[in-house]
Parts: sequence; structure tokens; C-alpha cells
Amino acid sequence: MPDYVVEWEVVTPGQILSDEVKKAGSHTYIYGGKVYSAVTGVVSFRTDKINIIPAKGPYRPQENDSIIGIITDIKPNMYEVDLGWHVVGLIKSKSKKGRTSFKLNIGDVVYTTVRYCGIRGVFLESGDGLKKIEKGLLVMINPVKIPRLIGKKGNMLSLLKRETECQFYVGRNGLIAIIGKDSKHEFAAASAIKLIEEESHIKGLSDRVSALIRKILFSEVEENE
Amino acid sequence: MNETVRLFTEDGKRLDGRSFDQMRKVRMEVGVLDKCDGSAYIELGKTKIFAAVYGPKEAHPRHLAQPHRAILNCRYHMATFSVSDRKPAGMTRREIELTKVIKEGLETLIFLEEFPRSAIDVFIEIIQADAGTRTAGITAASLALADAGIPMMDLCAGIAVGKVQGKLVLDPSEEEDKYGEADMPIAIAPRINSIVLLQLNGRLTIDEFKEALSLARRGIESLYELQRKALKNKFAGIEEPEVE
Repeated sequence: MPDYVVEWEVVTPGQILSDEVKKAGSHTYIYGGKVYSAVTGVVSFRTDKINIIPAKGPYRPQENDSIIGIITDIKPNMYEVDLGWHVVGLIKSKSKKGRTSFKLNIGDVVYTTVRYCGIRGVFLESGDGLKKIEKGLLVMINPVKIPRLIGKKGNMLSLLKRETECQFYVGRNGLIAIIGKDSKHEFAAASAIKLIEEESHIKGLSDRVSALIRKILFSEVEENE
Repeated sequence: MNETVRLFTEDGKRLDGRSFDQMRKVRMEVGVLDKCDGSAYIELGKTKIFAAVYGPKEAHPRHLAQPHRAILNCRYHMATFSVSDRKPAGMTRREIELTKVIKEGLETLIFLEEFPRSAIDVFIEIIQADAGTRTAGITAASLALADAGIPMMDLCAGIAVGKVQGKLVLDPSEEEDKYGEADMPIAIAPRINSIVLLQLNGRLTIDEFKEALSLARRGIESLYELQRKALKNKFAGIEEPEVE
């Protein structure tokens, strides 16, 4: 039976994708024995399924996701962490196994992974996987753009690291912590990340990113001189 | 009906030169506002509407949050300067009613159970009102939801059908609405063939109702294509469509 779409085609909600129910992948739904798209995005055929890569959208937590969150509340036995959007994560602070070795306060930024995500809520790793980010710049982009920020085999991220000499913590929920040697380098990295978010669908992104970073870094060097 | 008012010209056309099954000029644009998660703008003749979507985000107050699904908050509001006499800034009875019908229409389309314990806010702001605001409002709202990346079964589009001096007309203008015998706003999600909003002010016979429904369907099909074009163009980075 036929598919109604081709790879990389832009689809809108309610657009029919296939007559084969088995082909329903991510961000699709089945109605009346047919597969439809649920979001606006591009079609990707992977593992014999039709998946839609959304063009924009909220973060949906999944187990083993690396995330960055901000502590919003301290309960008697757990910390509440804001992961952006509608998601609130929980860190158990007094479990015997994974006791955190440092104290967390409201407003602290943490980098950790999702341990459990389901009907009981979103629980985050509290042991060695938990890291407190003490300094740097926090940038937020749309979570669907995170794969583009990382790039194929981490290409884009390593380009950013090389050009800006900054350290990056990338959260799947769209928050990125940039730790650089000074604010100038951090600012260059943040501008590059915003460029990636806005122009990720236009070809030649890597060249434009490195050009932007060099422009910011070198122009400021000239000003200083 | 006021017999002294003539709403058709001698050659059978409507006062603004349209034929009975012709809509006013439509323009749609997606992603027009920066601060919200999704937005849309629609112009239907002189009617101008912005729709904005926030969320999914934490539901407030928290006791309203549902453990198995998101709640949808909706607000249809007319700006004080949207009509010829200044409208009071608060929510009128009419606005509260339209908020309710639009919210219930959109709720059937969104996969709310994907975002438990959260809330999605939809704001529909009428900048200029010239008949057909509720249908254009729901059209813009569904476009803004799609722009925000919220999973939904289908886009929905709405249009009104009026009965003017015994004749059914698509997309009645303000005069036709005022002096006509009936006005029936309809919103449909065309791909899943579901009527999400239907109201009827006035009287229609069963045959007239069926004819009005098929007339509306034709209008909605063309609106739906414009919606899809607007969305596709945004994500392909091309200019917005403008079709008569």
C-alpha cells in the first residue's frame, strides 16, 4: 500500500501519511486505519516507520536524557527542578544510595539525567550523575533544535568548542550552559547557538557559525587595541 | 426583515460585489509574535485577528491541573478599538460565550493527554471586527497551536453562512449579518471530517441547513489549504500567501 509522502517533505497536522498502520512512528497518530501527522515538521523514514521531526515544539522528557534544570523548591526529602515548559523534575536528596555530596539551594543550576519518567512524575539522577553548574552563561533554545546543535556525530558542538574555547553542557530540554574563559567568548558562543536555532534549516550552517564567531571575537579584539 | 434594505444588486451580486458563494479576501500569517510559543494573524476582509499560544506550561492554580491530561485555557477578546463605539475593556457576556465554544472546539482536536499536569493558553485578540470574528478566531487559534508545535489531530477552519433575503450566502458581511434572516458559523476539521463548532442564529429549513453546510464546507476547504500553505511557507522561509 502506498505512502502519501516522501522523505524531507514538510507536513502539517492532519496530513495523511500512509495506509499502513504499522508504519506509524513518532509524532503521528492512527485514525480510521490510516496514519496521519500530528505536528508540523519534516518526514523521516527510519526503521521502516514514518516519523515526523517537528519544526518546533515542547520538551517531552525521556529516560536517560541529559538535562539542565534550575532548583525551584526544596521539600523535606526532595528538590523540585524546573526543566522549562511544563516539566518539573524531582531529585531525591535523602536516598541512601545516591546522596548528593553538596547542598543545593533555590536558583542553583544542575546538570543531570532523567532516571524515571512516567505517571509518578519525572525523577532525576541524584548520585554521581548530578553536577552543579557554578558559573557560566545559560542559554535557552527550542528543544527540537538540540540535535542540530550537536550535529552529526557531534560535529557542530565540537566546532563550537574549537572556535570559542568554551565548555558546553547541553540539556535535551533546550537549556545550554556555556562556561568560557571570559564573557566575550561566552557571548560569541551564545550568539552562535542562537544562529543555529534560527537558521538550522538553511544550508551551509557550519560556515556561517564559524564566520559569526570569528567576527565577534576579532572585532572586539580590534576595539580593545 | 427590513424590506426597505436591499442587500443584492440588480445583477444578483452582493453589495460588495461578491457572488453568493464567494468569501472575502483572506490573508494568513504564522509566527508573527516573538514572545509567545506560537502565533498567527488572519485577515478576513476588514476583520483582523491575532492568536497567540503559550505552553504547555505548569497549570496555575495547581488544583486545576489534571493528572492525566493538560487543561486548555482560552480567551476570545475584542480590543476596545475593534468596533465603531468603544467597547468596554472587560469580558462581555458575548465574549465569555465565544471563549467557551472556541475552547470546546479546540479541545477535541489537541492531544491533551500527552502533557499531563500542564496547561495550554490560547489568546484570540480581535483587533478589528467586521463580521465572522468567531470563525476567523478559531481558524487563527488552530494555526497558532500548530505553530507552537502542539500535537493535534487536524487544523480547523471556520466560516459563517448567512441567509439574506431568502438566499444563502457564504461569509456574510456586517450588513448582511445585521439585516439577514439567519447566520450560521461553522468550524470543521476537514481531514477527520469533524464539525467542531456550529451555531445557528435565526431559522433555516432542513434543506437550507444541508445546503448551508455544503456551502461552508467548500469555503472551509479553501481556508484549510491557505492554512497549510501559511504553515509550510513559514517553515520553508518563504513569503506568506495572499489569495483572493
